[in-house]
Amino acid sequence: MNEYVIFWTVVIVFSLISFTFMSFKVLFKGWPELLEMFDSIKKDIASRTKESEE
Amino acid sequence: MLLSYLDLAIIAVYLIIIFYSGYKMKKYVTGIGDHLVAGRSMGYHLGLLSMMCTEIGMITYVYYAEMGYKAGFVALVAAFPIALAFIFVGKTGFIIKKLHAMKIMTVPEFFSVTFSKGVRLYIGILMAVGGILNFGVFPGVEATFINNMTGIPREYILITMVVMLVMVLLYTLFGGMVSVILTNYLQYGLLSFGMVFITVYGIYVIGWGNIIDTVTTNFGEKGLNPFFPSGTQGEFGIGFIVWQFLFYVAFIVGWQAVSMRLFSSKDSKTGQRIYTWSGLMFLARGVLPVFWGIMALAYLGSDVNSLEALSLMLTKILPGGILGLIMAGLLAASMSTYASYLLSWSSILAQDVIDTIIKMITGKELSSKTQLYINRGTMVVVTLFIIWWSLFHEIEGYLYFYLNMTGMIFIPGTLACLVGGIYWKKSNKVGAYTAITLGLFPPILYLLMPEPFKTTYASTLGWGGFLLAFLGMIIGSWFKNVFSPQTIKIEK
Repeated sequence: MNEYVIFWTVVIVFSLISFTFMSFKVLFKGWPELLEMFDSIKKDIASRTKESEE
Repeated sequence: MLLSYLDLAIIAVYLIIIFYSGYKMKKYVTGIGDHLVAGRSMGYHLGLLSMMCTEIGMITYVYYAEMGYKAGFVALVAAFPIALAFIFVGKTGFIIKKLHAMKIMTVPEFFSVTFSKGVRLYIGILMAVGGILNFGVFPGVEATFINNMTGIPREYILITMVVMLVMVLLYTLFGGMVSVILTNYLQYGLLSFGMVFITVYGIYVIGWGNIIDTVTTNFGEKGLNPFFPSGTQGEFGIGFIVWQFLFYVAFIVGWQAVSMRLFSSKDSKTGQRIYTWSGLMFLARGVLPVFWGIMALAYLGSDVNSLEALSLMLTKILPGGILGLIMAGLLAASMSTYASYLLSWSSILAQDVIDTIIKMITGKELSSKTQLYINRGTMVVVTLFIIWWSLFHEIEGYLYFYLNMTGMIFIPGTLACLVGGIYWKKSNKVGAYTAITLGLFPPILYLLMPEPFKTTYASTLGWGGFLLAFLGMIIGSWFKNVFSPQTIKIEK
């Protein structure tokens, strides 16, 4: 049974480490993407408002 | 009350931030809609984060933890098929590449283009039934979770459900569904912190040796070896892995909330990249909560209701302040999941079923005002139904199997039709009808049979549903081609 204990331990540790790493990555790199997206939306809204005024 | 004033303050502040940001973002709602429709989809990291937030709610933790509590380490097997399915579809582009090339925006659209409008209506009815039965247990399970975490007495469950649903409606009103992209970011920060903290802190409090001893004492080899007593006999053996892999391949390509991420991505490569990396995240989404269930067994013993074990353990081990942070993250996660499920299933019922039937009978297009009334009406009906179902339906067997089997009402037929329609030139609507109908029998049988048969035969009925659906596609298409030959409409 020991081999199964080792296997499941590796699975849990791997999941924990990979999840922590991936979470940091998406949070760190997602922030500029979020700002960029809202920036682009603001531009879209501004150009549409301008078009409707014209 | 189990929550301290600090916990309550954290929850209140967090909810105010969520509602306030939703309100402030309302002016961007149209902008975001246009933005996504215009193909300038959100970035890869934001897409990944948003996918995780939509697919994690309190119920996700509860059903995985129940499996760990009831079965031990072997239940960790359940996390692998979904991860493998994401990586497989992401790497190969199986089905999704072709759907993207066909410029299909929704799966029901594929059914009507490839087979017929009747097939679309048929799958729409089954999607509505399966989806609403699936969603029907959410309020009961989550309200129990909240009551346990907060110490609200059990008899107030109906009030907790109603308050939660009112909050969801307010959340949706305040631009929640669209400005969810911003709130997702905040939510994911809390959720990921919570997942890592519960795991590490739980091991620290309960002790690794104690956890292993509990599993070996309670279950023996059955709790560690998924192929015990043989590969085909265990609850989480080969049959389970095959069923789950097929189920999740179909889920990824056919479940609108997930597949829309691919359809709205600028090219199939970006969508495939999101899917591939989601595999790793989804592995942890399963492994960590199953492990919490095992920790709950070690900490509380085996006499607790398996669906309540996680919440009871969390209230006992988490320090004040952290409990509030985790609770706030969970509430927000559930609100976004609720909002998207409520909208998805009631709109399928309204648009793919009721609207289509009225159009077929009257032969006229419905006015947008009538459509709006139907949409609102179905939303009210679905809300009332899920409250009623949660109060009176008793879940037998694993909650995870119940949720999978309600999805199975339409999923095997959907996969058989997608594979047939895309990769097999001789497929036709008779094959589609037969596939959907035959795939429907095993989940109905599961829902009708009592425990312990449910748990014993779940995997067999699971892969059996897919086998029957594929046989139905082959036999039905062959029958039609022999007796009334006709090629299908689209160029494959």
